[in-house]
Amino acid sequence: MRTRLLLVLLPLLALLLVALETPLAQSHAERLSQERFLKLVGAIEELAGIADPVLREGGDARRLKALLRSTERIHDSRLFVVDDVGDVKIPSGRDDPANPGAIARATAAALAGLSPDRPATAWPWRREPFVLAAPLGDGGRPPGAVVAVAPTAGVRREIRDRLLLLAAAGLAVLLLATFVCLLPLARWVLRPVDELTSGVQRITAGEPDARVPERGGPPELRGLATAFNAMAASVSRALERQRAFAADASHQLRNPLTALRLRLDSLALHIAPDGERELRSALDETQRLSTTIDVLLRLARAEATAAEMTVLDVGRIAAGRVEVWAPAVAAAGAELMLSVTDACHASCDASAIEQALDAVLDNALKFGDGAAVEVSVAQHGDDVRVRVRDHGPGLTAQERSAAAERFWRSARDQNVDGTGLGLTIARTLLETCGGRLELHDGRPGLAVDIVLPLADQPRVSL
Amino acid sequence: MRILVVEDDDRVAAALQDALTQRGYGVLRAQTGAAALSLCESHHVDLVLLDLGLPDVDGAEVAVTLRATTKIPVIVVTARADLPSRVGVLRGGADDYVVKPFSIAELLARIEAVLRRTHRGDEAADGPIEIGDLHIDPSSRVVTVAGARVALTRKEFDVLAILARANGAAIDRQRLLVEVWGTDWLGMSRTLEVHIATLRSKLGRRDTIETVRGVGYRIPVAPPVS
Repeated sequence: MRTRLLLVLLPLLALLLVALETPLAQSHAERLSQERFLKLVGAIEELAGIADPVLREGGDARRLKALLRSTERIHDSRLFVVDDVGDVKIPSGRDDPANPGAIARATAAALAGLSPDRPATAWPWRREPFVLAAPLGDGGRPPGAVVAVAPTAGVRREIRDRLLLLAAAGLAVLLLATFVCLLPLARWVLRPVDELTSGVQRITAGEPDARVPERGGPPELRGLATAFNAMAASVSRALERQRAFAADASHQLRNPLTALRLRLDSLALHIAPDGERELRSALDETQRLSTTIDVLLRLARAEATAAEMTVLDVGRIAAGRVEVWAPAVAAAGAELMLSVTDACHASCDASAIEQALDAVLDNALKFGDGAAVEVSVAQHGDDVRVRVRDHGPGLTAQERSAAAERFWRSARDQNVDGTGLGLTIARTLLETCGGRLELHDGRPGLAVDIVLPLADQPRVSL
Repeated sequence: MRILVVEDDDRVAAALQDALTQRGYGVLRAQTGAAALSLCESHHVDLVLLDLGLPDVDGAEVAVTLRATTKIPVIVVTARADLPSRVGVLRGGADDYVVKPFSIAELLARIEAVLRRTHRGDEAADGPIEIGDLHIDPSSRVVTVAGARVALTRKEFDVLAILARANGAAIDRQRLLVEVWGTDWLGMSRTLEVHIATLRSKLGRRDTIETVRGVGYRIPVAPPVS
């Protein structure tokens, strides 16, 4: 976001600088070209004054020649004098790099009596020399002209230096603006966003009272912070209500159940021996009801409790649970196998993973038909997957999508011990810490995946 | 023996009253914490059965007050949902607890055990326990069967010690989970089953620890010799 803001603002600023500096560069270049031009014009007009009588009256050409040479040196140009038809009368002392077109045009203009034209500005990328011609005499048909072919390398170098200086100044302004204005501006705009992010993270990490400051930053983001705080408050109120409900429901259901249980116990003293079986069943039912209430409350608490997020070695946790379960599995005549493909860390709540694994292993043992149960830990993209696969009859696609719903039981297992809440609790626990539960076809059997978000770096756990 | 039942729910109180009277206990009843404290002053009471959810004060505070002002033993009655409060109550001076819904048999076993302890003045139940040829020393955490030492993990030892201390009474699953694992989630009961299975095999006899169907486990005071 910060980079993007800079990417938008920096080109704008650069454009502004270019717009300001272009006229400045232009005027510099024109002024320097003009200076060179004026000096040359002055020199050739002076020469024209001297050459006029020489050409008109056949005077002493030697002085003119000497003057021509010295002027050539002073102005670093090639000078020569032509007569009224354009033939060279007094040639230059320098070699003649051809510029015939420009020379012919300038000479023709001068012979028509026109003063030298100001040539195009000498930008660094223009290599053509200045070609100027001054007519001899004053008024009337000139008897000839003085022609100058002046390279512009010097001027161009000077102009180039100026342009570079301007560019450097522009860059300096840009850098200064970035550090003095743009970065602080980006920080000011983004600070509320950072604060919101950390607020959300703190709430997710089990700090329901976390709020973000509502001052600072642009008004729209201040509004967002206010809205976020209101939302956080209402969510924690809802959680609080749910917790209160769990406690209330516990109290309300437990008292009648206690009275019922005690009455049944007392009834036992008055019952004939042939009624004892009925009484025992009634007591079993109170026990079952009590277990269901417990599991329901456990679920309510799982939904209301915030997870304690830490970075965990998933393979180690899985190994720990497998070790605990192995004797129970062996006692059931089955086999429990663990394979940890990747040593991966996930960011999650340790007890949530353990309880979810317990619920899933419990199921695998109940419905796995006493065959082998495989537990594997592997990394898939950005996820860590703990897969528990049994070799039982498995579930159909439709059953798999319903299996984690509350109280769901497969039609053929209606009478197996349990509440139908194991997978629901596993799913709820995983969701509170950013994970999820997936059911797949194990071909054969059922494959339950505990999917956890991969964590980059293992941190030292306390 | 007179028991004070502190319970705000009339039906539970009536059921308790009937059950305890049938078994020869005298029963007093208080609906509130304040009434309970004044009844303890005005009448002779041997034991208080204290519900935690009272209308006027927190039951835990009543337990603390009773412990500070009298020597009457207290058994706390609680709902399963509030694990931390149970731990707090035991630390705050209650002698034992039962969890709703409980059976009369369990309640009576606890009442008897608490009364026996109080009469013996045996506050710290930390002495060695001997059941048949099973010998458990809680202070050194050493267990021997017929003189041969048995190596147990910490949790296995804790489970065995709790069962052994119950004096033959059944201990319910949930209670073991709370006291040994600090959780009351029944999903953990598989873990408990595993520990019981390991204990049985380590102690060398499957029937040292009996399974009580629908409740939990017990160690018979005179275990049958196989």
